Amino acid sequence: MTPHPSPPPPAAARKILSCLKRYSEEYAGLGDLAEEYRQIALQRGKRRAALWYWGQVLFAVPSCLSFHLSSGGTMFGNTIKIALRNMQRHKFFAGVNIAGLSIGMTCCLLIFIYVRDELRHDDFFLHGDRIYRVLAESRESGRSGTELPAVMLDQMLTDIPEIELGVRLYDYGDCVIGNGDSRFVENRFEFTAPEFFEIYSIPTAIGDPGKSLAAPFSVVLTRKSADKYFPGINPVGQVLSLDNSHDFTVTGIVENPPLHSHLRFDFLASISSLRKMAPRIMEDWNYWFTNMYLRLPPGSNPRNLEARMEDFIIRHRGREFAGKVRHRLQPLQDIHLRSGNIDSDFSSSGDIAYVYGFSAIAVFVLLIACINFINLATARSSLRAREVGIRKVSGAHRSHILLRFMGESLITTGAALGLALVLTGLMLPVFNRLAGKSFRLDLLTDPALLMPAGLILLFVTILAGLYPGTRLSGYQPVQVLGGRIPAGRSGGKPGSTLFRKALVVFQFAVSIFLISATLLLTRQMTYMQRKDMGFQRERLVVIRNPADDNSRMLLRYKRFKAAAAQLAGVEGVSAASDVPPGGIGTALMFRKEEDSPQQALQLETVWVDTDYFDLIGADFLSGRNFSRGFETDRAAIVLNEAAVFALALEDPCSSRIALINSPDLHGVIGVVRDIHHESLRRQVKPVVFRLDPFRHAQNLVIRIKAQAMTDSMRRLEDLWADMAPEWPFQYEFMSQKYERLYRKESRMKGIVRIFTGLAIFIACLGLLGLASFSIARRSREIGVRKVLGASGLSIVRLLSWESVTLVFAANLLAWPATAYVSFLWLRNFAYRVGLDVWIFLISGGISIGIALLTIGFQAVRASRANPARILRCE
Amino acid sequence: MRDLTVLEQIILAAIISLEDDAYGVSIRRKVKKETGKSLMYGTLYKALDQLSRKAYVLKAGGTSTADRDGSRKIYYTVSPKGKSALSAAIRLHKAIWKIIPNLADDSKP
Repeated sequence: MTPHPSPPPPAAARKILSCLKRYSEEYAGLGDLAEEYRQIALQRGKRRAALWYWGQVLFAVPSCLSFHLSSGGTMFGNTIKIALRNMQRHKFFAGVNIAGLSIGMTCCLLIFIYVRDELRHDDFFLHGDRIYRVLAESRESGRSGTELPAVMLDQMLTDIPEIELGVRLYDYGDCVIGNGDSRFVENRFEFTAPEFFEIYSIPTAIGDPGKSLAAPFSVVLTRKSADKYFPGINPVGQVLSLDNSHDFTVTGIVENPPLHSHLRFDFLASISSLRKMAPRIMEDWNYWFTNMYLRLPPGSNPRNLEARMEDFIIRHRGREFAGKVRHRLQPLQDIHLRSGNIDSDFSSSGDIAYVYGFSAIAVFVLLIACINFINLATARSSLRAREVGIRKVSGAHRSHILLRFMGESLITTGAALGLALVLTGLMLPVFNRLAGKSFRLDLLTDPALLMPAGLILLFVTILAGLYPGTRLSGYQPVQVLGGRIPAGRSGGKPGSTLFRKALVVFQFAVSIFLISATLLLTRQMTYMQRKDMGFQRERLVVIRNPADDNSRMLLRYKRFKAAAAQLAGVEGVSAASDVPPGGIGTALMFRKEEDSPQQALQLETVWVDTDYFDLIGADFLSGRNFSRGFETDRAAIVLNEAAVFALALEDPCSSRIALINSPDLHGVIGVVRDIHHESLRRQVKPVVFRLDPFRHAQNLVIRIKAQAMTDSMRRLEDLWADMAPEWPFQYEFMSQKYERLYRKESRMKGIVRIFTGLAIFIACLGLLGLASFSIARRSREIGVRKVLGASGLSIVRLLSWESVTLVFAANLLAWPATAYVSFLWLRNFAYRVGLDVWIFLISGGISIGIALLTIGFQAVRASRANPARILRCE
Repeated sequence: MRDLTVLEQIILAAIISLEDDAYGVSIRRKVKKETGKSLMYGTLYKALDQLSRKAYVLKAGGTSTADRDGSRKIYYTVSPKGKSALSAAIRLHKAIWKIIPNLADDSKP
């Protein structure tokens, strides 16, 4: 060949060619084409050569593939053809199969996405497996809290060297942030130390994480806050005011905390500021307000540390205290899902029970979809018996036939999976809304999702294809071609029909369980929403009084009250330190007059204004309300029923109680009916109500008249703006508060409802397919009966009877399981509905009704058929 | 045993006639020259693979040269089995043409 350097062939085409391994390596395709390319390039120019090259490569692609198919896959191609042909011929049954399977798979996929997200919470913490949150557990009540004294960490780091790192995080709560003249209400303002960034891995946009939270009165903004307060400019060096009292300098920006983080914040301020703002709280062992996270060295056992902490508590707070409070270490991964019994500012909405529950539902729904497939395929196997016989006679082995059938099952399942992916994509927005998440569509192409989808495909194919496949391939030609297939039942043992019936029963049992669950959930929710909380909830508005200073708060309240009470739309104004449903923030130890301090009990304490009970509409069971007229009322107290019970007071209105270590006695002047200060999940706690003007002005409570509510609200807003312009008007209706409270249950209800619908649908599909087939098989019998004089109705009854008994059996199966699970779930609620027989009867009735509807149409149609036409062909 | 397809016969014949020099490019060129057919490489390789599976054609590697994109040449030879299969095919053709001897002359070139 001529000695100049050879021009290289087009790179892209060459790349494609090199992918066709067979041609390019075994047959030196790269070389041959390169040589000829060169020749053509020399003779006719590079352009022609490139064109030619591309042509050859592109042609080679399908040629190489068909090559693979024909040598390894002739059988596979044939299987596909036959499978598609079968599906076309029996569109109805194929449709039923694919629809059922794809719905089951969609359920599975959606739940898988949900569960994976829930389990992935907080996975971005650095060395997360060594991080623990410190809890304070009350030995008496079993409940835990996350708020602890700040000074505890300082002391712990000194006394316990096993702690590698400790970080405090204080959720400041609702506050007002000022930027220049504008004021905004925020509630995700946290105080923490620079060490925070060593455990919480979050990208820093501006500033040095090690230093930005060191100096007092520094604050780091999240990107969201930075954009809100200082859009477009670098906020470092700018100043924001906190509650109109303290100025903080911005020292950095971090990215927004990820969605699946139990910590949510918009501002991070330096905890060293607290030493200047309120020095006492950083040293006070009795002031419990900050969260604490510890990082332990690798290989350490948290139990050991818990034991050390117990010693620590005994040493610093005394044995008696240690007997009441125990500190536990909660692993980071448990925070999102297993914090049900923990009260915290960073409460999570996840619950491991839901994760288990939903996973179970997913498995069940998929299972019943597979059962459909199995049932239908088996039932119709008698149709293909002859085909199997002929194949065997032609030399096919049993394993071939089984494989072929599995291949067909794979194709059906594959089609169902494709449909399921599409359905999942469509359902995603609705699902997001229900579950309170935000999954994006591109999740569907995520390999982490496709892999389990592939596993589902494999699993369903094998599960749903194996049994019918084994049966089909087991047909003997002699049995099938020569003689007759045993009439009525499909080719075999009577046990097979029993098995199929059992499957249908199981399907319906699952559906009945879900129906009952939905009914129960709805009942419990309605009960909770309608229950009397001990006061009148309508038209109550709660306004938060900014907590700057006790005397200023009081003054603000008095002035506002005086002015607002004059408004036409306002029925009344009062205030209390804690209003429902927010729980009660203060608990103090009280003892009865005759008891010693050792017998003191912990009672929640709420400070109220004299007209509070009247305003909210609480009832007194005995005694009287506070009154301005009585000077002695300043020291008097009102108890709720639970407190009377806890203290075991026989004659409450003549009793006196005192604070644990104080000699001052307070007379009980009245007993008020229990007011639910928290969710109905919790028992009403014993409460002591007291008067103390300086402490009750935290929450203003206003009842407005029904007419022109928006107008009244606007006037109140104007009033506030006049009186306290530097504080934004922050209010919430009592009804809104309650809605928020039960959101988790609401969501659960929505989700269960959907899955119930789906399960019912699939079960009906199963019943439909089976019943249609069995009715079709009995068409001759029906014809004969009609000729012999049976009425249409009796035939319908005959045909439906079998299905009804199946559903009835399903009910019997479902009821015990339902009862047990319901019992477990209801135990979560201190106030709950009873498990009525009604629920079982209704779900039973619904299931039978659905079954009748499903097959009724078919049965009626069959009974109307003309006997002459049916009996003609024999 | 399946008969050789016409394409396979052409290729076998080309390889035999090329003696020691039968490789991808040369086969194509020969076929083009003698029959006018322009074989796509895809078709050629597929046919060669079928033939080599039946052990009618043997492959042998050659040296690589610069103008071959670095990969080696693969030379093909026809095995005795292949030669007898081809002979059988030729006999078949002869038998067919004997029945209608004039057809080839009657048709326009």
